[in-house]
This record gives sequence, C-alpha cells and structure tokens, in this order.
Amino acid sequence: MTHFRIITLLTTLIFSVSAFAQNEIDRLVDQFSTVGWSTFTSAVERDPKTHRIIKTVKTLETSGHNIGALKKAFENEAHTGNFSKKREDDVTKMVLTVQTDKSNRVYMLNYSSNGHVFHGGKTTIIVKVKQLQNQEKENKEHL
Amino acid sequence: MTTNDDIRKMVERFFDGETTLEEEKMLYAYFASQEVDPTLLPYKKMFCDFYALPFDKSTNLEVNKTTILKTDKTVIQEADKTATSRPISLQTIPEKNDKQESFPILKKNIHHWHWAAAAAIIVAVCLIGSSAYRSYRDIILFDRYEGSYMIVNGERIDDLNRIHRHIEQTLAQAEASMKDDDTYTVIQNAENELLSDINDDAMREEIQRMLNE
Repeated sequence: MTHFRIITLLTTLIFSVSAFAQNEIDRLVDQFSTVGWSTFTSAVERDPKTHRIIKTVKTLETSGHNIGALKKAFENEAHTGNFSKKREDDVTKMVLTVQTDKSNRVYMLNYSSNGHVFHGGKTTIIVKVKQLQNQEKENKEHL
Repeated sequence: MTTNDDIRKMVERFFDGETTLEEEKMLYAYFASQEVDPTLLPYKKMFCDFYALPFDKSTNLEVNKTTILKTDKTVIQEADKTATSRPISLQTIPEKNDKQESFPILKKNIHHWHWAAAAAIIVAVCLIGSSAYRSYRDIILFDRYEGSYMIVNGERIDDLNRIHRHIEQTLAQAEASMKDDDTYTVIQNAENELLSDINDDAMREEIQRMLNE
C-alpha cells in the first residue's frame, strides 16, 4: 500500500512538472483534443537519415464553444513572445511566436465569429527544433 | 492332321515360350473350335482370350474371325494370307504398347501440372513482392513521421498508413502559414516602427485607423 502511494505521488509530480513546462495554449489543446467533435493532428517531421525531429505541428479543429477558452489563453500568453491579432471580415487570426534555447514555437488561432458567437476554429502549434536550424546555417556557411 | 497329343505338346511348348507363330495360330484355331479335347478344356478360355487381344495397330490387319473358327487347315492358311500380322500372344505382348498407350494421358497430366506450377509461382512472387513493397513503405513512413498520430472525435489513430496523407497536408499547410506569417510579421513590424516614430497621439491614431481600413 505504501509503495502504491509513493508511485502515485511521484506520477502526479512528474505530470505536474511537465504541465508547468507547457503554456496555457498547449494545455488547452491537449485537453480539447480528447473530447468529441474535434479533430486533432500531431505531425512529426523527421530527418530520414538521422531520424532527428525537424518540426512538430499540432492542429486542433474544434467547435465554437472551445474557441472562447483558446482565445483567452492566447491573450494571457501574449506577453511571453511576439503577439499579433488580425481581423478580416468575420475571421480573426492570432499569432504568437515564442523563442526558446532549443526551439522556435509558433501558435496560431484562426476562428470565425459573429459578435460574441464563435462558429469554430483551428489552432496550430508549430515547434521548429533549433539544433537542426543551427546545423543548416553552418552547412550553408561552409558552402 | 493335328492330334490331341500334338495340341497338348504345343500347349506345353506355348507356356515354355517355344512355339512359333504358326503353331500359336493353330492353337488359337483349335481352341476356338467346338471340338476341344475334354482334358484341354481348361485352356480353352485362356486361348480364346489371347485370340481376342488387339492386333498390332502399326499394321493393317483385318482377320475374318468366323473363318478361323473352322479347324480346316486350308481356312487357317487363307486367313494367314489376309493377315499381315498376328494376334498378340503371351510371348509377344510388348510392354511398350501399354506404355505407349498410357503416354498421351501422362503427357497431358504433366502439361497441366506445368501450368499449375507456373501459376502458383507467379502468385507467390506477386504476394512476396507486394508484401516487400508494403514493408518498404512502412519503413519510409516510420523514418519520416514516427510519433505522428491523430485523434478524431476522441478516437486515437496511430497507423501511419491511414493518416500519412493528412500528416503531409498538415506539415505543408504549417509551412505555408509560417511563410505567410513571416511576410505579415515584416509588414506589422514596419507599421509598428512607423507608428512608434510619431510623437503626436492624434496623428498616430489617425494613421493606425488608415492602416487598418
């Protein structure tokens, strides 16, 4: 019984740590991906020769009632990077770019709305691994 | 005149394989007749069967059997003139003929087996080839997109064969979006730089309104 409690506590801690590493947008996308009436895609692009990850793209197409929470998450995370918002006709596009030591992350939210009624939208998270970018730069310099 | 003793001796010599063709004909004629010695009756059926065996087909032979039934020597001699061959006797039944007759059937069976074997080989090669191609394609997909998956209405799909087209489409759209975003960011940055250089708040708001129209 003691062993079980220790394992449960450790597991909770591990997941909590990983949750803190993600931002609010990542958490909401993971949360909404498992519910019905949504299509979630996690695409991993690898270098065929080295099998190293080049890029990871996550997209979530979801219904209108989840868009409100995602929109709020984008606005809350706006201070963590470069944020822009553009509205054309009934379509709003939010873009947030975050740079870390290991990767460049781009968060995009496209949604259609009429006033305060959201009709549905698509969230895209692009993570481009930075190590390979540096290598590509070095290769270009050599050439 | 052939006596019963002569016939008996001929029968013994027949079984020893020592009779000539003429003597065999005489035996067949004798046993085909109605006047057979009772002691020789056991051999009648056998010699009649021998007489009924088919003639050599390589020769044109037609023997009038009704005339041979007569024990008259002259009739037998006449039958000899028409016959260019003789009935096949025990000594001369060639095993080859049986084999020759069975050869056409055997050849047909071998012919069918060849075609069946060839068809089976072709099917096996096709199956192996398609299996090898599928394995090769699986390796390619695994190398490029390992770790990719989809969740559709709560159901997770990990099979790359099913989702690889969607994965490729998603990556292409992301690439295009990033390029568009780069352009958009450049424009946005230029606008921001322009607006930040304007100290007058009213003018800045006016320009911003104009840019957003």
